[in-house]
Amino acid sequence: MRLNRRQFLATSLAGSAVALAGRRVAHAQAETLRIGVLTPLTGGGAVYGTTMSRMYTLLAEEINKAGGVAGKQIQLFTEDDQTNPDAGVRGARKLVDVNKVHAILGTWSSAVTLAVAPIAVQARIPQFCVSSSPVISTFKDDDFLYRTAYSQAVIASVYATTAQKLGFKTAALLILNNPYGIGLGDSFPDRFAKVGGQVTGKVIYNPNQSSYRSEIQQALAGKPDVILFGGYTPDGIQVFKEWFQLGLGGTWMGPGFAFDQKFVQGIGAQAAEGIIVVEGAPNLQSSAYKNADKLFRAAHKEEADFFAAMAYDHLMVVALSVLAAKGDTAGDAIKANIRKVTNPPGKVVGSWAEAAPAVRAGEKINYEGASSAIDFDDNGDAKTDFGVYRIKAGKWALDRVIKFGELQTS
Amino acid sequence: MGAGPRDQVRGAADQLIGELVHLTVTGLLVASLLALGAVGLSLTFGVARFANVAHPDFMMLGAYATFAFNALAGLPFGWSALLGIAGALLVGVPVARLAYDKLPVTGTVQLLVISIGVSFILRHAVLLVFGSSLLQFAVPLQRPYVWGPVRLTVYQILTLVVAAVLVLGVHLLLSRTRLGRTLRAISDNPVLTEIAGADVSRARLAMWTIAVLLASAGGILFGLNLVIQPNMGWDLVIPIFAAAILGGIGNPYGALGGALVIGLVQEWSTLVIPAAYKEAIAFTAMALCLMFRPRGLWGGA
Repeated sequence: MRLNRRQFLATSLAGSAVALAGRRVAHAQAETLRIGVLTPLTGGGAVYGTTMSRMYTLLAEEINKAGGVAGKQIQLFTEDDQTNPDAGVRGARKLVDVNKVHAILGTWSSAVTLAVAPIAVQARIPQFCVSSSPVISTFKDDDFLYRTAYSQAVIASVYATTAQKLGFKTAALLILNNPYGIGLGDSFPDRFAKVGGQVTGKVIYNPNQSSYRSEIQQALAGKPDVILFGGYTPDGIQVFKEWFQLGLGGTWMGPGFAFDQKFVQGIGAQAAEGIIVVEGAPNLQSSAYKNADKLFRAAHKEEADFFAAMAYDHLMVVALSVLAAKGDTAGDAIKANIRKVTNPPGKVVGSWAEAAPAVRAGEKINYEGASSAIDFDDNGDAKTDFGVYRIKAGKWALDRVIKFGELQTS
Repeated sequence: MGAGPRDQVRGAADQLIGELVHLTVTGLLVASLLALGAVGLSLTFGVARFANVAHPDFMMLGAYATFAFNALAGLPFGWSALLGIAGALLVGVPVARLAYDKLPVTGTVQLLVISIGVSFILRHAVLLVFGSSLLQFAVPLQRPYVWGPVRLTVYQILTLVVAAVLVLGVHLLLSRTRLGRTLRAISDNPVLTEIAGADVSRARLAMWTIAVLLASAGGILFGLNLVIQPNMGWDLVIPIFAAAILGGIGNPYGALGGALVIGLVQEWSTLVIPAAYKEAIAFTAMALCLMFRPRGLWGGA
């Protein structure tokens, strides 16, 4: 290939520009703790992903103001996973290859978490998620994948325990014909029997029907004390619209992701009144939650929910692990310190102001999180408590908290 | 003293009858919605001689047009529904005329493929304008009127009445008017009808108008009872075609019968078979009927 003078000049100029830019990036990389925030800002998880993304930003600001992590400022790189595995993988690749992040936080959908996990494992950086698929526990992640949410494997026990505590002796199921609904239908009767309950009927429905009246009547036929709903928001709106308009009564119980704000808007506060919602509960008494709530309220005039609390915990755990590793941001160094700072024994801490001086002084700490105690088991799962809410005037009102330890899980 | 065995048997029988009545009412509601789609589909098949896959999307058009007047512009539901039907006619009829009557294409298969394209265009146009989320009319939920085991809200009664009136109207139009005779004549023998001097183009315009009118009314009622979403028509393609085929496609009366069979069999089957299979049961019934009466329940032997 022959170059004329002008081409040669242009090429060498461009080359040196790249070299300069590269050096600047390398310089910057030495100084910051780079965190990849990969949450859904669009799609089905947008509400949760937006809340989480806000919390990461607020906590990063707080830690940076206090001098950063071992002298390193936290730098957030945000990508929208669109609640879609393809977009999640594209976002994760960009975070790993271009931004060279030290951890990926925030995947919400199980499909996205499992699609992104191989990338994080290959890059040897920790990933923190809020997904509920049981597969995440058993995934071969070389201990790089952590979750702060509950696994669906325990959710049947949660419903059974909740029903028992609320004094329900009989229950029926109305569940969607998909792996989630059928899985719940298979596991709940056994769990409910263990706490002395009895299932009066199990009705499986298909989505996109012209009517759900027959299914609803069948579910109510045995006059159960409570009906467990195993579906999502879109089909939930249709089923509950028809249920209310049948006027047959009955008490319903189901997951927070089905009975969310969109659901309440969809069927109206009157029809939603009294529905029992079971969802992960923030660790309300912890200093971590109090701090997370303070930050979130100051910025957004809303209380920090379970998802904001989980986001707070993700970033706290990573920052404390890096601090415990004396500023080493390598994935293996972070991983080696995660359980050291989160699990007992040690000094119980919740906010950066409490925790950082203790770690710097070389004390063993036990981070008590905003979403749960944040004690990770061998699978990287934290054990969350559950909140039982009742919908009152269109809002979730906390009825009681069910501790993880109260569940009959075997 | 507990109830004697005779009382128990009577109680069980009462309960069974109650359930049967409830399922029959539900089946009639489903059939009403299907019939409003299937009657028009069958009519267009008879006259235009192809299967218009985009037909159920006219239902969706009616629902969205009504939503625009009712929830966006804030008009009362009744006026919105009438304006919504007008809106669906203003969009649906020119689209059908352009895509099916004016293009220099006549083959059944070609028109079928064009109609699949029309269906995609209509749905994506709605997606573009209204987005993909579930929508509902700005009307309050209703408590039902209860007559023994029969429980119906005013919307559901409206659904039954509107479906019956519209289908009866089509019957009168086909049997009592000059236009009806022309349509039936085209359906029997299009070439001969044209030779005899009938205005086939005008008749086809009338046919598309009737078809879109019935479908959009069905879509509005569907939206009133459940929800509005871009795929609401597409999700009904299979049951509506099944009802039309069962009735002997091309025969609007048959389509009504087909809708009744599909709706009732589907709901009755839940008495003995899990509800998750009810659609499959309805199709099994359709396959069985067609084995013995291949030209539809009301088709000639």
